[in-house]
Amino acid sequence: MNPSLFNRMYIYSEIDQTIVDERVAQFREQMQRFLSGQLSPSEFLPLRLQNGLYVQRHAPMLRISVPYGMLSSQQVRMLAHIARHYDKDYGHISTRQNIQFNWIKMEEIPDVLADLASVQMHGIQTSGNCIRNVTSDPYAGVIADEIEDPRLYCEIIRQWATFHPEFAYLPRKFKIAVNASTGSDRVAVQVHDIGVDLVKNAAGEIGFRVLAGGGLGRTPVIGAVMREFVPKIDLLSYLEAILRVYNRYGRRDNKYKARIKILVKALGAEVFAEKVEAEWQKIKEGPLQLTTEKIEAINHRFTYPKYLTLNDHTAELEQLSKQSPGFAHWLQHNTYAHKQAGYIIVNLSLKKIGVAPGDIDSAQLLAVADLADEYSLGEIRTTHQQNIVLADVEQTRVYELWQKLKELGLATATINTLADIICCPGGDFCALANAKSIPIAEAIQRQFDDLDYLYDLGDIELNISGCMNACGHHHVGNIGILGVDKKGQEFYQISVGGASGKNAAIGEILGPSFEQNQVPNIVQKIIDVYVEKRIAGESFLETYQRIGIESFKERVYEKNH
Amino acid sequence: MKKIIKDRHIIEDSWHTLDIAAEQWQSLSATRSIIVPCTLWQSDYMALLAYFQSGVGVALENITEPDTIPALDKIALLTIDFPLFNDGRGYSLARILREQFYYTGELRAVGDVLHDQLFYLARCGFNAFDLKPHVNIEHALLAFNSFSRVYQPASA
Repeated sequence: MNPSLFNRMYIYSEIDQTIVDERVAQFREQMQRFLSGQLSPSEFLPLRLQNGLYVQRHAPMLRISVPYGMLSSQQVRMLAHIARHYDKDYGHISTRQNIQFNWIKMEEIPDVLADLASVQMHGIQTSGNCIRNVTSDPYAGVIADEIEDPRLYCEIIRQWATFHPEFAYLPRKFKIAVNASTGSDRVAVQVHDIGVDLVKNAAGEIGFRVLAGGGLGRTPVIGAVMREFVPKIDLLSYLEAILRVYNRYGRRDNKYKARIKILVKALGAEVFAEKVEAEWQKIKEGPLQLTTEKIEAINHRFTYPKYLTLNDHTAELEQLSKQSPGFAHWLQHNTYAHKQAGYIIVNLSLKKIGVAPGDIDSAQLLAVADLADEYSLGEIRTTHQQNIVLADVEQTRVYELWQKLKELGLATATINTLADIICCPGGDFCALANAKSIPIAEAIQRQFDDLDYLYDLGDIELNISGCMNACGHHHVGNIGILGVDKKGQEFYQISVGGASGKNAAIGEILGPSFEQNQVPNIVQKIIDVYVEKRIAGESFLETYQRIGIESFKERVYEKNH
Repeated sequence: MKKIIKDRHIIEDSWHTLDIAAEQWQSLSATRSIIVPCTLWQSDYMALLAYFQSGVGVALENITEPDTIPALDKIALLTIDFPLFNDGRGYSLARILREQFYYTGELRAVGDVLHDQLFYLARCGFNAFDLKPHVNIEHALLAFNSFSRVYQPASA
């Protein structure tokens, strides 16, 4: 790879590459032992899961790790190759910034992993009861309100967590997210097993506020603050202390009560934090303690953006907006302010009506790789909202980029609106799902296809999960939709008032669930209540917080309507 | 005699695990190498040490709290049981014994111990492995070389 092309990519060291290559060889050998009957299915299960391989409804599903959402154009081309060569020509971006393929043949998985290793990629720890891919802000490094670039710490955590010998057989899966933005939280730190916020203390030192015990699933919980300030050098020892307490005392008798949130609740957050503190005091001075040199050595492996000295072109963009309403809408909704003068952050929407949210085909992947090289320093980011970000676009070229994105079907101007739905693969693909989710998303997008109306409604997060595992984060959607099974029939439970940002909240369930064909209409009624009750400038969430759930309940369960 | 892996070699296991329901330890030969349950060690460790000349081993469950084990430095062998291979508590217990209690004797993984766990077990401080009967023990020796590089510090 040519580092000079990239904005800020971590480039593998000889150690990283050796480990990934040895992993491919190890998994090939494990697969052989499984296929020859030396490994039982139950013994093989965690081994394949820790390489991202699930067995799904139709075929195996391979989840590929995208560390903190960062991809190079070369890596995206390899994903296109995998889609085309091994799969049915498309992939799916998950809420944890990974990409998954649903139709790969089991016996070809070792070859896919070898292809991935050739571009510094893998499926390591993308599933199974281990520490999963660390996620972060898709705007990391390019926004003004950032304490420091969080990706350095994501990478430090990634290395520590990769093949951690003590934590490969945890009670349950374990997810860590890192945020560094002071104004926003695009990574949902409060609903992760561990959430890490970069903070500055009273002395002006940068460190971490660490939360634990958040999560969604059957028992949604907002994480509790374990420590307001963990110094940089102590990051890994503190995380290790949390994991060790969880590994030793987390429940293993019932998989639905095995996440760390259940342990934190059972002990009480304070008692849990005391146990962590006691463990941490024993290990913090040990070999896990970081030094400025160790941090700098990892930082050194990141390439640096080579920004040009440019001026902002606000007036020109306004002029173009006046000439083209389509561009104006897109510019307003799908772009975001860059910290560097003359640049702009661009969101590529994967929410075109008729395409499953987060799906992208090989032709689009190849085109995105080319666009990234041409317009954004060769770098691509995946987002928790299941979209793609080109983070470093020159303002003078953004109109041109928009035209190309339109042709590719990647310029749907609905980012952060009701139509920017987060949605799991659901019953169409997933073996765990109780109900379909993709057709629900599509029906809602069709109901709300008037852009002016959508824009008038403002930012609304609508999330859909096909089952209680909550991969679609329905609990923290402003409107959340959950597929449930009632005597073999697919029904949908709807909640309102959830939020995933700085003020995360779990949504409140309206009441009895609805049939599939009722859902768009029910969402319409919820929106109608908001439009009627809102005070000028109030968002959906703010209106809900002011008026409560009753008005919504009354409307959706009203007779004779 | 049963074969186990110790220090990356296949050896014959000379230890006898006391069946507390069927045997009285006082009736066994004093020259035997014996593994006793942790509860017996906790109550009778001085008598056990005085009686058995070739050392005493102690069998731990993965929920044993290390600070409840007396005279750790007098124990020749500790076993940690893996009731299921995917019950990871034994990994943490091993590291705590090695790194916080400075236990230096033999640390043996017993129970549902399989080929694909050996690399991690060894890194957590286990140096002996009593594999499940169906596992090919010669082939399992290769598992210690799965990775030539590692990212994080551990016991080994």
